[in-house]
Amino acid sequence: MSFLRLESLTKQYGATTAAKNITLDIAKGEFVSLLGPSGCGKTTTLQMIAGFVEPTQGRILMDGVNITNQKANQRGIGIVFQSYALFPHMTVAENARFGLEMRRVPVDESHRRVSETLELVGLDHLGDRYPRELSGGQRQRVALARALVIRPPLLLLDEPLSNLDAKLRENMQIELRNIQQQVGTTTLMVTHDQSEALSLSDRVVVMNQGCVVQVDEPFNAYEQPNDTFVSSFVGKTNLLSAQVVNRNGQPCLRLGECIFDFPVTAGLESDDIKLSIRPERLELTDIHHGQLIGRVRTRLFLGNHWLYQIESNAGDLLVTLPNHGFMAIGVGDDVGVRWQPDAVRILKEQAYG
Amino acid sequence: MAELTSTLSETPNPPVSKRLAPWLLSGPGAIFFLTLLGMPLLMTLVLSFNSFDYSEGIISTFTLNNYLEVLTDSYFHEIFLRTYGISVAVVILCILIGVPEAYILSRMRSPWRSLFLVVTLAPLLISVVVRTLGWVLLIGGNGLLGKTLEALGLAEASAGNLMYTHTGVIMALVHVLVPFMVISVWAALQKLDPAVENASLSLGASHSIVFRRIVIPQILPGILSGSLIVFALSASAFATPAIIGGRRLKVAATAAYDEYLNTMNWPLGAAIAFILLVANVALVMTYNRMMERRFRRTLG
Repeated sequence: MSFLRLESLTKQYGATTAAKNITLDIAKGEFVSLLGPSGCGKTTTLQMIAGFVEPTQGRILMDGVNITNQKANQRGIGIVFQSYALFPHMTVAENARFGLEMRRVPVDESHRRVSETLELVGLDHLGDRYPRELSGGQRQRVALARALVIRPPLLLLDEPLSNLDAKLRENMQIELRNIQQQVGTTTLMVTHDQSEALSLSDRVVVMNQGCVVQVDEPFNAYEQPNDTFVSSFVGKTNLLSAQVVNRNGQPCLRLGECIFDFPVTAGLESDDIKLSIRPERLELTDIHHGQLIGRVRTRLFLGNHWLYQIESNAGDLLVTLPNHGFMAIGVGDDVGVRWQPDAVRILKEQAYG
Repeated sequence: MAELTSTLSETPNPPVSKRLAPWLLSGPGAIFFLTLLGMPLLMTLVLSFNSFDYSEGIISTFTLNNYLEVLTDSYFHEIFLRTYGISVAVVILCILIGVPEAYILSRMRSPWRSLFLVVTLAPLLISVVVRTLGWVLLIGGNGLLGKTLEALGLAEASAGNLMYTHTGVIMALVHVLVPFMVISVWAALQKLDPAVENASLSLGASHSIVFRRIVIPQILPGILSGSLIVFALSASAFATPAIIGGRRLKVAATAAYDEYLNTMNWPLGAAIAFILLVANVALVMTYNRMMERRFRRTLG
């Protein structure tokens, strides 16, 4: 049963279409992310749900009620803005209390709810501070508390962590996920950071050029990308051109000088197809055991793993290997590259826009 | 290497030319201001301690009599009270007109916004005297306002004559000074994060609550500094009160002018001018101090 339903939601600005036919169902309590590069229409979609942008076409249903034409201040949706948008002239507690005041919640109850919510985000000791006197991470929590205190049916997060530094962002990701599960509010987050979307969400909605490209659980979106865009936007990948060739009457794939069987070749119309192999699914071995042969061009040490760039007949390949504590392969070495058959994905070219 | 050490050893004691550079650079400006502003001010201060006799003219003495006269005579009390009364009224009207004006301007769409901002500020390009004479045409004895009232049968033509009245002076001053309020509030509005208004809407606030509780408190420093400019300018305004208020409605600036040019009592005029200056500076500084204390924590 869907709690929030978007029905072919479209927004046009003059001749440009910011969001095209967005259709999406979100279940109660679910955490869904809209993921895409800037200008893909994710923020426009969020603003239409929030009521700040009027859709050109389509409907928004929340809990079965059509809210498409409802005013933003009637929808009761909690929103955390990218800039946090805190009220600079009010203390932390006053910021959090504002939504309750607007709802005319009795004073003692609003007091209790504000302190409960500030405790939830770990700011109960800073209620008297002004936003200016807080760090970025603390401001973020105030914004979250202010949105949660009204117990909204739906929580919208607009790039909530993009203004935090990397370390803090990781901590906040874990915390955000915990708080969301604790409160159980249906949440829709907009982000361009694929790792954030993958780690936080129950489902990700990958968007490009105003369209929804794929809606899936994070693991599936990563492992079974629909097309070349998803595979390269969600995580790193090697996109390779291959040909369907005939070997002993069996259709096979040819990649560089390597010809190999592929379980599903039926339904492939064109001879030239795109393959995706994730860098971590490639293995480096000696040149006699590889399916492809190449030479190490660059090697980057990234702490917990190594990133290799290999020149091969099939094109440049990225390979990541876990760091086991010794340097086995160096720049300029000839290596063999191999993979398990299930590491290969055949992709459609992106066909929209 | 030898060069490096020599530069390092010189750092605590830079060459003379380097130490003089800031003085030489700011010198011309400082001399310009000292001669053109500082000197006349100093001479006015000295003059205000001199005394005046109708037969002998200005006598070089050192006396506080001029100050005592201004501070004790109820005639001057009335003039100073009128000056500040008019200024306060002008400030209030400028806030009531200028703040909504700036807010509406800031919410306009892109080609109109800059167009109307120019329209708002364009009067600053016209001389105050010319603009005030324009008001005389409107509110004078035989002016447009009286004629209109008469034609509409609402009142006699004389009801439209606002010359030599507080209303007339205040109206003309507000017209002259409202752009300063608009500029000041406009600058404050530019610093507002547009998402803040959306945030308060999402929390269930109506547009009027957003304006009152979210927008106004954040642009308050702009309103207050605008008020400061408008207050200082209207307390020391000369052309508008001189033309519309005339002799009948003297303010401090026109009183000083009259002492200089009609009574020829320069020392008394200088004393009035100095009291006005000191009072204005004191008011402005107190106000500024108050504002800084109020907003340091919240808005920086």
